[in-house]
Amino acid sequence: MELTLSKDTLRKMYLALFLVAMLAIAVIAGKWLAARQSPKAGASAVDLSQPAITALTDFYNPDRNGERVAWEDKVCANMTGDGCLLFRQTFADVIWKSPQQVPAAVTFGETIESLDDQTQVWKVNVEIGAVSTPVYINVEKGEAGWLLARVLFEEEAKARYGGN
Amino acid sequence: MNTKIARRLDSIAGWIMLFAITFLLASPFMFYLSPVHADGGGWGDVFDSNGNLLPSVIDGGQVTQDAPWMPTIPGFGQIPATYHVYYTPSGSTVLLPSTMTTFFLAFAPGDQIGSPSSVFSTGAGVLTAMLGSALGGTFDAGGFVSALSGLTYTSPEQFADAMIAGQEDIWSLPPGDVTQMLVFLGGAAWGDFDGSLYLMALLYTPDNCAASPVGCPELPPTPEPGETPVPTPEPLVCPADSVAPGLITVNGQKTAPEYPLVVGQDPDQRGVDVSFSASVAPTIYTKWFKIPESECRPGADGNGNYNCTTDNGAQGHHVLVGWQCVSQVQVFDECIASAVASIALSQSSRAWILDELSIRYPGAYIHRPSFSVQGSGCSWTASETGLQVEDPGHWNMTVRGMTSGTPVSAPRNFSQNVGVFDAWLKEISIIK
Repeated sequence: MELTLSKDTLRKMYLALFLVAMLAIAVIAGKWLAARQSPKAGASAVDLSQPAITALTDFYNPDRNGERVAWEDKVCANMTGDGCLLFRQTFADVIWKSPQQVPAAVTFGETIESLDDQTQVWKVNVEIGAVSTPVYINVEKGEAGWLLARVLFEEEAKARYGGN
Repeated sequence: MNTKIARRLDSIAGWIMLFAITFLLASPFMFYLSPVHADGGGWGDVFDSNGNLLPSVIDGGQVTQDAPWMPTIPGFGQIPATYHVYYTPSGSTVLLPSTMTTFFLAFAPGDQIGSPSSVFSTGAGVLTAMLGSALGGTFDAGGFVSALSGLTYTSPEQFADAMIAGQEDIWSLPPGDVTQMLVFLGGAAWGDFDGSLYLMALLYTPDNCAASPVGCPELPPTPEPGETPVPTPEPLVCPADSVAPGLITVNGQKTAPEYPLVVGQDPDQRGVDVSFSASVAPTIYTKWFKIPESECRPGADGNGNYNCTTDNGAQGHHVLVGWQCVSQVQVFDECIASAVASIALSQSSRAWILDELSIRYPGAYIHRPSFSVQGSGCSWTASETGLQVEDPGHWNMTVRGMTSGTPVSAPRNFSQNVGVFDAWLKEISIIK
């Protein structure tokens, strides 16, 4: 059997094949880019400029050369109302009097849980010296971004999330 | 927006209810602990018949203590247990735990408060009421129950009972509820009673004071008529807390062969074996405390009470005779965070190769004047066998690195020369 195709038909076939190939490449490239940009399972696209991360960084870096109240105010500036109250009542004294003097760096780890009260629990890494400690924080969405509600206690993190 | 307003109103209503319930619950205790009625069980030593605090009772102020059953802030340690302490002249100790301390104390495993001679509160009863009001007042029951998915409590009080019974703990609650509970316990909702509302009082009589979390008081007795009062010694000023960073130890050596030849003249191209190590001793943090010292004096105290036995077997009473500074030492391990060993041809050997050796061997040049050796570990070690040294002369061995730091000390850099070895030419018996 012999099939005769005109030059014009061949040109159209080549064009169609080219368009299909380009479309396939675009789809594959799009998926690859999306896969590269999307966070890992369980993680959210949280950047380090979030108020909660700023609050936690200040929380772990008390400026003992200044006034204690100034440090508390700085931490509270990026916390929820209740969180600030609890921080001043319960956490601040322990931290301020702690012998800990090594600068601490905070990096976001992953979103662990989204709760019914519209808050989330994040796992962050706090690096003190060369020691990295996983810390769980409860955050609440505010107008400026996610605010720090509370640092979970070690016992609490262990009971809820295994602590590691 | 409407939801937000509704939530805020709900929250305000919750706080008002919580305040009302708490005040109602707490008032009997305030009634007791304020100028009111006091009865037996040792409390007569604390209050007079009208309920006024006896003038002889000494306010020991607020005392904080590390307690393993209090919650831990990551990186900073535990929140201390807090008590307001009163001492009676007869040696009784009265402890008023803060509400937060009372709360965590109730769920602590084992016997954490010894066996008080008298407890003013029904313990679990107070806690049930406290939890019930906190949970019920702060959260609506439906929301509370639904928040505890998989659990079947139909009311906050039921959940409180389960906590008392040890079937649940505070960490079963969602983090947001825990925050509100802790704010409640911290006393912020109590207005005028902020930080000074106590729901429990523990009395330790002298024969039992050692069981108290704060130990026994050592107080001077009321002097007998005509007797010279025993002056209370002034408390010592203890040394300031100190941090002693651990010593950094660095070693390095050529391990073989005894007389290395430069590899260009060695038919076996044996090379040089070297090994290095670096480690840090623990950092020592020393914290100082003042503790009272007492001795047993024969006879009764000012109230006619005996609370000790003298060495002669006579009944007596404790007298504060001095203070002692006691240190508590904490040890923090430290690692070598990073380090590298380097082996470098000395400057004199380089000059010798270029200036003198090049006369005997025209065109002599420096092949490779330095090597680096990587290692690893908290107690760092590194080694290399058959290092292909091509240049004759004296080789300096150096280790540089940084320690990890500890919670009480910053990371430290170090650099130390650890030794020299020689690499030889066959024909030349002297190298420089």
